Amino acid sequence: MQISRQLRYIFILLIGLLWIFINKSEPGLSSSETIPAPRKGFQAPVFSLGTLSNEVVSLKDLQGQVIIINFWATWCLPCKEEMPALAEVFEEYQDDKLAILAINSTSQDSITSVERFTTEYQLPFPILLDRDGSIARQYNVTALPTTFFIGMDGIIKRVIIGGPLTKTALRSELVNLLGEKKP
Amino acid sequence: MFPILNLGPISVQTGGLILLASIWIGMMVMDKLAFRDGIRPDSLDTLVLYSLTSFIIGGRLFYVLTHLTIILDTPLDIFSMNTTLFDMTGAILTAIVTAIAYVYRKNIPLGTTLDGITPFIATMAIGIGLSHLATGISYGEETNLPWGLEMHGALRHPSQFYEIISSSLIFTFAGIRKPSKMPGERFLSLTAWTSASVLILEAFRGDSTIIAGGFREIQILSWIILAISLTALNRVKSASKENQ
Repeated sequence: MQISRQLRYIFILLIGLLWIFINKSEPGLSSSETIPAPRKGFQAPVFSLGTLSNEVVSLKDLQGQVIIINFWATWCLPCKEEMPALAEVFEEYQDDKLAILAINSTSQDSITSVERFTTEYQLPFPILLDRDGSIARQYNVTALPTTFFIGMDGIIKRVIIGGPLTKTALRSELVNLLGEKKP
Repeated sequence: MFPILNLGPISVQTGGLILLASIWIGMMVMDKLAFRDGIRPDSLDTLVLYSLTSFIIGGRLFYVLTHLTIILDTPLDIFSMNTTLFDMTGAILTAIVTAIAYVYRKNIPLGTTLDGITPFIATMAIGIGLSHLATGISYGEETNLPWGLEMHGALRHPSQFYEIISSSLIFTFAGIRKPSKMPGERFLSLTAWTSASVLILEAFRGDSTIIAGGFREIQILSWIILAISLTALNRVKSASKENQ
């Protein structure tokens, strides 16, 4: 009886091993990396947006850099709290190919408040205006702030919903991403 | 998928809310079944609470230790409410060590205790599946099968549903069944069934971590847990037979 139980268990483990071998995957063949979607492991959806000074910034033009996309609004308290940390890490890492795009959810905000905010905080990175909310919809943003970390290969590496993000949290993400080799 | 639940001006992370609810429900189920099975529920409650607390503290502590050079610049971030400053592996290790220390310090029989917390673990497994569904993580591999679901730009295996169905079945047939006379058997059955189901279902996941040789990391880990569980189960059953 005991031997038959042992044999049964060994048989289960052998079937398990066989299943593992059958389901081996080819490294680098992850289909998700070719599909644009606002999720970790997927290609970051491309967009172009205007800034406060009417310049147009396109995600495509920033290829090969580590990009932080931060969705925010002036009325959002955690957004306000994390802005100085974003500014500090940008100044620390901008020479290492870091780009930060702070996308204001302008459809839920006002241009005057955004102007006042950027003057007060002296932000060193571009403030993009999502006037009709289309980019927030494209990125499935359901709460503010939402922050996307995009690697040098254009793949979303991390999505953080909520905040405020601390300088430590930002730096620990960036140390990993900036350490990655370009594709 | 509902990763965020907006209640007026408050945004709640649905995944976290589901996990909290499953902790609460899991403890209720555990207590109820402990009475049925003649196990003292108060020691189980304390064990779960200690483990959960040390899970949180250990997660932050390990994060701090592994990011020491970064965190020393802004040491107050150690006490930040930010949940991203968390090390999951460290959290799990600390919780396990705390649970073992509690069991030995209080001199509680290990097998009976593990059987006692099995309904809690089985409930949590369903909760984890539901939170994966709510947040859209653990999504499936692309498929052409008729039951595939449109998710993240492709038709995919509904892997979160597979997870919920399998953990519900395991809950029913292994998690809440009356423990046998062999202490630890219910717990070992649960770990064996759960690791076997993870091993099978991981093949349908589209977000597996692929390691050297093209193997899926989780499948290797779950096979090891399955092997340990079956070996321990065999010993428990053999010992019980010898005692008889």
